[in-house]
Amino acid sequence: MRTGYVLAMGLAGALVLGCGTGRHHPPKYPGDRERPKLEVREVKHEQPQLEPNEPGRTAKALIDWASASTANEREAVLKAIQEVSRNETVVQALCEEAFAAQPRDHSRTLIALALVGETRTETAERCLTRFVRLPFPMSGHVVEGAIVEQTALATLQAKAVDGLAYRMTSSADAEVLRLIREHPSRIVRAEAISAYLWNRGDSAQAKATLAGVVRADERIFLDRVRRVTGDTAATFNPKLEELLRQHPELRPPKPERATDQAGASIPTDCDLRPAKQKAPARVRKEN
Amino acid sequence: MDVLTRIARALVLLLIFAAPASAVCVQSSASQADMDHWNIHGCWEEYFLWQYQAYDLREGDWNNRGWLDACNQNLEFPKHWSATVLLEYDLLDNNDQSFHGMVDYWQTARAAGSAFHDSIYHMATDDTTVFGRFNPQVFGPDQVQTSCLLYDALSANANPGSRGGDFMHEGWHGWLQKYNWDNGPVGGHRGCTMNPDGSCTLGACTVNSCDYFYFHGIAQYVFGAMWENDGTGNRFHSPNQVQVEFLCDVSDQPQWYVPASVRQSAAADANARAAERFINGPGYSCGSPRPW
Repeated sequence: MRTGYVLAMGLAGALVLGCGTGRHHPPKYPGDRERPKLEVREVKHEQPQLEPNEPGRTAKALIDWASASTANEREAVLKAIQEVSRNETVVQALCEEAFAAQPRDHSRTLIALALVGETRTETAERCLTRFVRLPFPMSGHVVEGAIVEQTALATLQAKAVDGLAYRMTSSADAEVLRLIREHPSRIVRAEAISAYLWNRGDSAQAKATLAGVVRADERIFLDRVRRVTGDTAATFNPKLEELLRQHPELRPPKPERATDQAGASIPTDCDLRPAKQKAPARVRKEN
Repeated sequence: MDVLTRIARALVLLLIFAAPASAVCVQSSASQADMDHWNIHGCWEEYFLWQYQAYDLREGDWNNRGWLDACNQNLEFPKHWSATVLLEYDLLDNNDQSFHGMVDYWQTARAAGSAFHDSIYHMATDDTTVFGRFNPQVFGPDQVQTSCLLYDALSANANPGSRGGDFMHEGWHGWLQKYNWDNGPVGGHRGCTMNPDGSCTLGACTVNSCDYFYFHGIAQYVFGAMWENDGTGNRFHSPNQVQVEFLCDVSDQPQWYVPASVRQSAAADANARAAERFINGPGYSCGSPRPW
């Protein structure tokens, strides 16, 4: 009976600590050894023929191709966009595809807007200005604290802002600055700030310009850290360190343990690990 | 017993024992990103026969969601297993560039109990008040639910990156539970405060589901160590942060064959979350603002 009592208390203690207690007894799950090897399928990715007399068909084909394109094909896509940019009717057709896709396929719309923006043409500027001025829903379906209809449109308008900022005409810049001041969604305002700065090399002058435009509680976005493809620890970490040096208020507070019903912190330290550990070493015998 | 009584009895039995009608997500289409990603791996039977065990998907939960039609791209189970291909194979795993390794992401999402969480199993839900939900259980594995908002092609989050990102998010609630961390009372997050102008904020967070961003540099965690912390804000993760870091790695650190639609969708989701959901935000911005 005493043994049973000890065992029961030991189990209860383990349950409280919650560290590898095995309070679940899962079936054996297959691991990495059983996982099959991926063999990437060779899908034909032929660049579509650009047919200036068939702008609608050309636009659809271009979006299909670009959407499925890989990182290795980026230059090919950029070259195709450059060719398309000489044909304003095809650019307009891409624009219409973006508007057509917007209610039904978010990822396709992103691609269409990206292609339009990359053309950097007058038609593109008109299109993207029209897109960012689509009425913003002020009510809808709340999911995890946000209205999904707002988030869906805002993420698309953020992509459109990238194209406007890339255009770098006075009219496009004026629209970008207006969005930074006035757009109802922080998602769009944040991307407008980032895109405006990026197109000016994140210069001090660009930041100074925006300092007079951004909302007071969004000044921090002027110093926001960006991680891009190709960033390494050597290029990214100093940016982050500088941000935290300039803005110590961004450092989060110490996390809190959950408490039991009596309000006492439930102790456990089985997840704590020091950030750096010494590598194991063999003891060297002295001669 | 007369005929009418027999009929009435049969009807009563039918009502009692008939399987409850369960709704499913929209099963008629897949998004551009889902279709493009599917084309990488196609109908990969060997994989989904491994995946349903590794992620503990159960026939009873998925039988009207593609369990016996596992290569129909329009259905929930195929979309689920296709999204896990992203975190099992599709990232570069460069410790000098990626935030974390696939070994971190798959341990967060897979069913097996580990240093990352106690055991979990995956199911879908028609409750569209959430993208996903971590549902602790008293007995047996905890539930990770993903809603139709991650499967319906009309939804902005119906793409492999966002789906995988939600596996990260919910799996990380499992980590918080395993180690008894309190991340807040609003569905495991902190709630915002209403302002006189009608906005709701908590620091820089502008939605009613806020986390802290525990900033860290690249290569600060060796691969496999994302679960570690030192009890301070210097080495810790929140659910939205893990989600953003995963999405950023999909956007900027993918294998060469990952389609543009998947990368662009991931970046859009990451940047939206990073801008809105962090008390001490904004979180990192992912990717270049160049349109293409």
